[in-house]
Parts: sequence; C-alpha cells; structure tokens
Amino acid sequence: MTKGLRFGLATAAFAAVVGTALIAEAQSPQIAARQDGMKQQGAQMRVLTPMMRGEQPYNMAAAKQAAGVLVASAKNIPGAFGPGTEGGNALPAIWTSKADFDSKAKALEDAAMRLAAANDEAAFKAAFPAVGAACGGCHQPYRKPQS
Amino acid sequence: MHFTARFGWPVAAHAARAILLFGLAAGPAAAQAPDPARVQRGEYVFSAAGCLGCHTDKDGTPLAGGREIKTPFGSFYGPNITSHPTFGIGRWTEAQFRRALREGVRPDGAHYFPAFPYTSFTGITDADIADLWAYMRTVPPAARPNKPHGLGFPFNIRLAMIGWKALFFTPGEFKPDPGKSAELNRGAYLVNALGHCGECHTPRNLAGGLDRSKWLAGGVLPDGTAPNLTPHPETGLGKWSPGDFIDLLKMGMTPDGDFVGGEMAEVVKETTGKLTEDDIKAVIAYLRSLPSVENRVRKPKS
Repeated sequence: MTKGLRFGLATAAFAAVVGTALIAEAQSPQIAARQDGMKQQGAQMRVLTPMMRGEQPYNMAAAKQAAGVLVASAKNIPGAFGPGTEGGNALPAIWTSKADFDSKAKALEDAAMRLAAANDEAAFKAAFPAVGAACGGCHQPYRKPQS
Repeated sequence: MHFTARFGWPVAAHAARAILLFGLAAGPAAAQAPDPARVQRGEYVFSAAGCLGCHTDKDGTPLAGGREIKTPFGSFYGPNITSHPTFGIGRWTEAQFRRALREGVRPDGAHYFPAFPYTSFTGITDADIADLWAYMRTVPPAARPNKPHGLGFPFNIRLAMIGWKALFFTPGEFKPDPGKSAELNRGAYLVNALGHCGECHTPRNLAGGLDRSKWLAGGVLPDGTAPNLTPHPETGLGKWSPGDFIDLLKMGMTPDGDFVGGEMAEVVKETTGKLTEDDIKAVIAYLRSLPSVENRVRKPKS
C-alpha cells in the first residue's frame, strides 16, 4: 500500500514536471508573440526619435500614428505577461510584482496617449520624454540585461 | 540626602556627557553650515559618480547600504554612507573622505576592496570631492548596520589589497591632456573618473585588475555583459550616430528601439540621464575618440 502510494506520488510528481515542461513549451509562442509586440514598439520609437532629435522634420500624421500604435500595444502588455508565461527576456519579478508591472504598462499607455494628442512640434517634443521614461522605467526592474 | 548625592552625581555626569556628545555631533555641522551652492554642485557630482546604486539596497533607504555586488570573488555589500554617526560616515572628516576616494583607504587605515571603484574615483578632482562632501553631509542619517561581505578565502584577506593595489592601482587626480580639447578632457574625466564606466566596460584579468590595453572594450559580468564602447564598427559602437548615443545616455534607448534593462537602466536613470547637455556631448566626443578595439563580448558558457 505504502509502496503503491509512493509509486503513485512519484508518478504524479514526474507527470507534473513533464506536464509543466510541456506547457512551458506549448506557451513559448506567447513569449514569441510578446517579443514581436515589443519589437513593434521599438519600431515606433525609431519613427519618433529622429523627429525628436531634429534629424527628420516633424510629421504630425506619422507621429500620431506611431503614438497610437504604442497606446494600443501598451494595453496588451499586462495580458501578454499572464500567469505561467515566464521566460524570454522577462525577469521573474514581473510575476511577483504584477500590479506594479501593470501600472508601468499603464504609465506607457498614458504617456503615449498624451503624445498622440500632440498637435504641433512643441507639444510633441514636450510629450515625448515621458514615453521614453515609461519604456526605461519598466525595463529597469523587469527586463533582463541585454547581452 | 545621601541618596540624592549618590544619584545626583551620575545624573549630572550623564547630562554633561550628553551635552559633550551632542556638542561633538553637532559641532562640525554647526561650525560650518554647508554652502548651498556647494551642496548643489555636490549633488551633481554625486549623480555623475553614480554613488546611489551600489550604496542603496533594492527599494531600500537611499545610501543606507546593503546592495549586493556580485563578483567572481564573492559578493560585496555596499556600505551605509549616510550621515549616521555610527552606521554611516557621519563622523568622517573631509580629509578622510578624500583619502577613501583617492587612495582607497578607510579612516582606520585598512584598504578597501576594489569593488569600491577607487581605481576610477582616484581621478576625481579635489574641488569635486569637496563639493561632494558638502552634499554627503546633507544626506539624512539612516541607522542601518553594514552587512559583512560574503568572500571566500583567500579573497577575504584585506591585507592582500596592498599587493593588488601595487599591481593594478595608480592613485592620482585626473590631469587634463593639454594636447586635447576641453570637451575631450571633460568627457574623459566624466567617463573615467566620475562615471567609472571602465569598471564594467573594460575587461579584467584573473586577479580582477582592469586590462588597460582594452580600455572600454567591453567586460564580462557575473550577470551578463557590458558592451564594447570603442568605435570598432563590428564589435563596438562604430556605427552609432551621435543621436544614438544621446538616446542611450538620456533615456536608455538602443538604436533598434529597445531599452536597456538591469544595471545600465539604473545608470541611465541616476547618472547619464541627469548629465547636462554639454556633459553628454563631452561623453560622446570622448567615446568616439577612443582607439577602436576589436573585442566581441561574450558571456563564457557556464
């Protein structure tokens, strides 16, 4: 009986480990998807920064579009780091401080919203730094260092 | 009567001692209240030198210490550098503070481990140290005891630092190169003395000394890598535009639109992001003037 129980427990533990590994494997598309999402955001930043630097003339339509993509993308961030999707370049702290993490995503959304509302170059340049600060403010505690 | 007399004396003595102690503690501060302009300049030096990170635990009281600094030799814990007289540096003199930065020596004469980057801070000018000291004295005291370093034998032998220093440490204030522009000299000072960028971005030898032939050509850290900052086009920053440098230093954005994470994000927030426009330009001019070193930084497989 004890032997059988022990065997049963061992099997269950084994199954749990394998099962978790399989789930992690099955969930890796979620990691890939959110990495694509982050790259999309990076692409918007590459549209915005040359205007901020003055390397390219300010283009209101392009700026508003890029900011709009950031708003939509920021809304997806909390859900993209759901339970059981640990991994990639994300630090485990995301899942132990999820409320703080989500509030940082909201900070990006709000900052990008204000950027999208900018109707001239001066307003754009005034609103932009908060977007960069939101990106960096979240990467500091929650993104693995680049290697 | 006898009772009062017996009690009277110690009470009076306590009161006298309390006055004496209070007088001692308040004395230096009262004698010369910090000049606000000097404190303000000192705060800028403090940011440019990035003191906060190593001396503040994650989410801890600023400068009360406790941050773990991982090295191949073990873990160091940044000490309390608040103005607390017992747990911090509240009883130090400016001369002792200058000696710590310039020579890597504690007030009691013991040698610091080079996890404290006096190898870089030695270059900080007397004027900047004086301003920094004025600022440090305004840091509120925090009663947090220091955590002992977690070093294994033989790295825990502080006396061995005498030999280490003889091999790898050249004390001395930064001296501008008269053959270079004021901007390049300022950049070199910001990067090499205050910013102590080389402590992570220069490779180290097995004894933990900086390999000065590969200055700022990238280093390997326990938790990652620090990239090659020289203008090498493939392995360094040779392809970066001035704008790329500005975005990285001011907000942490890399040329692909990503944002740095971890320690460098903290450096951006507390140090490079707080530099003046002129100082940012000086840093960039200096980095772009470095000799190009081919060095692809890779984390060794563990």
